[in-house]
Amino acid sequence: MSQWTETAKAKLEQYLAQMGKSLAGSGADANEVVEDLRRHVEEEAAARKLTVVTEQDLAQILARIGTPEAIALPGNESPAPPPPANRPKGGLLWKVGAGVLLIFGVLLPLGTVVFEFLTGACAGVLFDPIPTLAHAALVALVPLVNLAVWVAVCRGERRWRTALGWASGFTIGVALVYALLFLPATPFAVIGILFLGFGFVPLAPLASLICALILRNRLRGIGGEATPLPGLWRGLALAVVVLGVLALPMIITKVGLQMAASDSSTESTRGIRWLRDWGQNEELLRACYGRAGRSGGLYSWGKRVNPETARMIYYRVNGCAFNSIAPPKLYAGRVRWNLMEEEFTWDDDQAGDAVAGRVRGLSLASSRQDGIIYPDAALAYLEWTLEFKNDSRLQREARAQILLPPGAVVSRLTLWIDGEERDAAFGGRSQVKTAYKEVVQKQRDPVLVTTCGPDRVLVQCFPVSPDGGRMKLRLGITAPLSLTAPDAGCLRWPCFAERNFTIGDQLHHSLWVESSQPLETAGGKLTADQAKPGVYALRGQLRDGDLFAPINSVCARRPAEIASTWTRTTHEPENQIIRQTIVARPPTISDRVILVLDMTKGMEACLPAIQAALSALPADIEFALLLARDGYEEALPVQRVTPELAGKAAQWKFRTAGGQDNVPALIRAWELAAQTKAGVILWVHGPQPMLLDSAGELRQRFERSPNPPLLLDAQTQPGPNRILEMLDGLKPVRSIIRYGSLGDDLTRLFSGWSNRTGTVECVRERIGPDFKDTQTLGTETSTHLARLWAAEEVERLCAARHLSEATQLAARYQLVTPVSGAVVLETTAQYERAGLQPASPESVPIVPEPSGGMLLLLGLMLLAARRHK
Amino acid sequence: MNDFFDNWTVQVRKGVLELCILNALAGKERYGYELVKTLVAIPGLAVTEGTLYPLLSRLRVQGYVEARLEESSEGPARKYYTLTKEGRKVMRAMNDYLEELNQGTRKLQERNIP
Repeated sequence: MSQWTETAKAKLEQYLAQMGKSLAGSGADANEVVEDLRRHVEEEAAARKLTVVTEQDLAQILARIGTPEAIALPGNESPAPPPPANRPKGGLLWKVGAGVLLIFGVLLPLGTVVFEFLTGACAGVLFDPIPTLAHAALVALVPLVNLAVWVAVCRGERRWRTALGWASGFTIGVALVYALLFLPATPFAVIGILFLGFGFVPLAPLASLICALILRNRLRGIGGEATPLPGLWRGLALAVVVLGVLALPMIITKVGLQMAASDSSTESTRGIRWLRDWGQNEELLRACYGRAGRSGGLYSWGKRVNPETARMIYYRVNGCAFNSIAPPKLYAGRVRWNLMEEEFTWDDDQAGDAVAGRVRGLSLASSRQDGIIYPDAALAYLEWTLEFKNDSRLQREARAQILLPPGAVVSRLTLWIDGEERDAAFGGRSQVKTAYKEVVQKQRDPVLVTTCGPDRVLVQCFPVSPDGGRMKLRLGITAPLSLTAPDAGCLRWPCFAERNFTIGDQLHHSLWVESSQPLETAGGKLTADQAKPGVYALRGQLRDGDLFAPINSVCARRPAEIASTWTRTTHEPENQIIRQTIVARPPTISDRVILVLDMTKGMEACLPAIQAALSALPADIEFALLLARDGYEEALPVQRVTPELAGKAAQWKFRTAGGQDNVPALIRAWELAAQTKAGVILWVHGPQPMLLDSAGELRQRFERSPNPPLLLDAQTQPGPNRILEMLDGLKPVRSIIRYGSLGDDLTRLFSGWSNRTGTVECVRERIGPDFKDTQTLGTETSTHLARLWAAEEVERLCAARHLSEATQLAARYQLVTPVSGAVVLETTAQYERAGLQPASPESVPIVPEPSGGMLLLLGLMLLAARRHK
Repeated sequence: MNDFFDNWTVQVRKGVLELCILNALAGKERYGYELVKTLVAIPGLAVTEGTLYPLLSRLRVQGYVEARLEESSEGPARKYYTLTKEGRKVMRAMNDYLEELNQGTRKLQERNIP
């Protein structure tokens, strides 16, 4: 702290007193200023590092501080206010103009945004103008900025002029884009206003754009003509960029889709890769249903990719069928516009031959399978009761491709009409199809079942009534057990390969099967119990995804000593006897195995099990590995199996991608396998929902070659298989027996080859009505045996081109085969018109009541035992 | 010419001095001595401390700035000034106006350049 001389102190006080006096009436607080100055002088002295402040030092400091200038003295109390702004002239014209600007620039667009957001009217009819919240915010900004500019203009407020200039430039950009989008609808809107008095909504973007431009011009005016208003072009460009960024995923997908749909294979492959990396799945899915996406509707350009092509592309990109997942929500129509939206989701594939896309509102309400196994005859009869529900407002057709147990045949079809069971008529394939289509056109209640490939049937039923209506049907399936040994066989549950309805997460298939011999399953999800002596049951519930899993197959014991069974058929004019003999077949000795691995996305989970199973391959054969990826890739050329192969296989790292075309790899595998006498192609793959390449060449090779290789099929997941459908009826094409995990089943197959284990097969034959000594035929069994024989006989007749005979046989035995189908019609007149006769209640198979069934079975066994004695 | 120019500069300084004080306080709180030294150092402003303190006091009385005293170890207690909400509002309006004025002046200047 500095020391002050007395004279310096006195001088300072004198100065401050004078200063205080001069400030009177200046608007400043004189005392405060005096204190401030005193403090300033002291700080100045301290800054000069004066230990003693003399009069001379003070004089220097005060000279620097000076006296207040005129600006700080009375008469200058407040800063000069800004001059009055250029307010718009307050005449009547401006008042009317301001009102119009407020209505068309603010109220109309704001009301339109709120209206569209709440009702989705435009979304339900044309396209969705506000597909995302970001779009909604951008669109709402237009009237809000217009309002702000309007207020600023009315008040002549220039404070926010620059910011409003930018905001106005931006919203003019947004309004411009939307005005252009609605431009095609503008003439209709004008006509609507002129003649009907409504139609302002499509005009809202254009109206708000014009108002925004007028208001911007006014805003520029309040700053004076000489002052430019910033932000028009840059704000406008920014708006276009923001809208572009919001549309970027859709643009990328559209570009990719167009590339993928190109005729040039190079361009197409590039497009698929592009879509795999950058594509928007939802947009792709919408293309599969022939509808642009919500944001896609905003900017329609480029060549339209038809739904069929889009479905192919979807599979190649994602590795799964478009209809294996829930359909996309189409637009955003709400309230009553929702109905309009539903009208646009008409099912184009109704009464067609394909399952096609998922139908909105249609779902599976309940599902149960009841079955009985006849262990002596190594066969089973299952009834699958399905109930569909339709929550939409339109009548719907339920369609599904059902995967039957290997060798099974549909032998009964029932539809509930008004609570009453109606059994199907069986007839020629085209006959039943025509009858079905006719009834569908009349909106009556039919159901149709036809085959669609090996062990596959297509079920169609119509109409499932709208608004919660239900439709119930039952399929009777006669199936042979896949014998794994003379004393054991397995039965895979029928399941959906493809469907056009949804199955809720909560829905389970209720399963119950009974036998007189023990039953079990490897999966552990079903309960095996013995209700009473000699009655074994397997029951429980499975989710839809688990129904296909071979691990949940039924494994049934059977008496190994019963090798021959027989039944009398009542479907022939003369009672015929059908006999089944279980025979041991010598092992299939293959000298070369070509493993074809599908590299479709989703297969990666199966690869470790496949690699591990290779260690069980026999040592004396040749082996090659082909990967079905972008054509085919020979990952391992043909070479003799060595002990090191399993070790090498464990090191393989495979990359899966999208959906792959397996046909080129299968053709190459055929070439390699056909080079030896007993070549085998083992094809391990996921679902093949699309035929990307014609399988005709492959079929031709199998048909024409005198010694074609064996094609063993192992599908890892449920789903359709278009390639296998194309190979239907070919003897060398078979599925491997599956009742365990993929690794276990493959290991069992390879071990069987290594150990030279033979197989067990059922041979069925008709031995004519004259055969009297049935005691020598073995055990009498269920008439389902006759149905299995008939199904095989139909196959033989078809192969021999005796189609008429095959059709008659199938119709007589009431079977769904490649030449016959089953249809339920509503009235007798409809049957007569179609030339069909519904199955009589006495001729249809049934699953007996649990206890009754067993009693019947025991009775049959006792009868057979007595006859045997 | 000189008299006219001197008069004009007084008028201009008169107009902008309070805005300069407000702008100087816009960024951060400053204590009186520091603030005054900052403003005195602005070329062309040609203002003395004796002029600034009454203006600061007047701005405080009008509610555009507020002040608080804080003890200092380096000398006398320091008086810190900050802008009030109202002061900030006034400052923006004054700045906008001055900017427009400058732009207009420049525009006229550019138009007159041959």
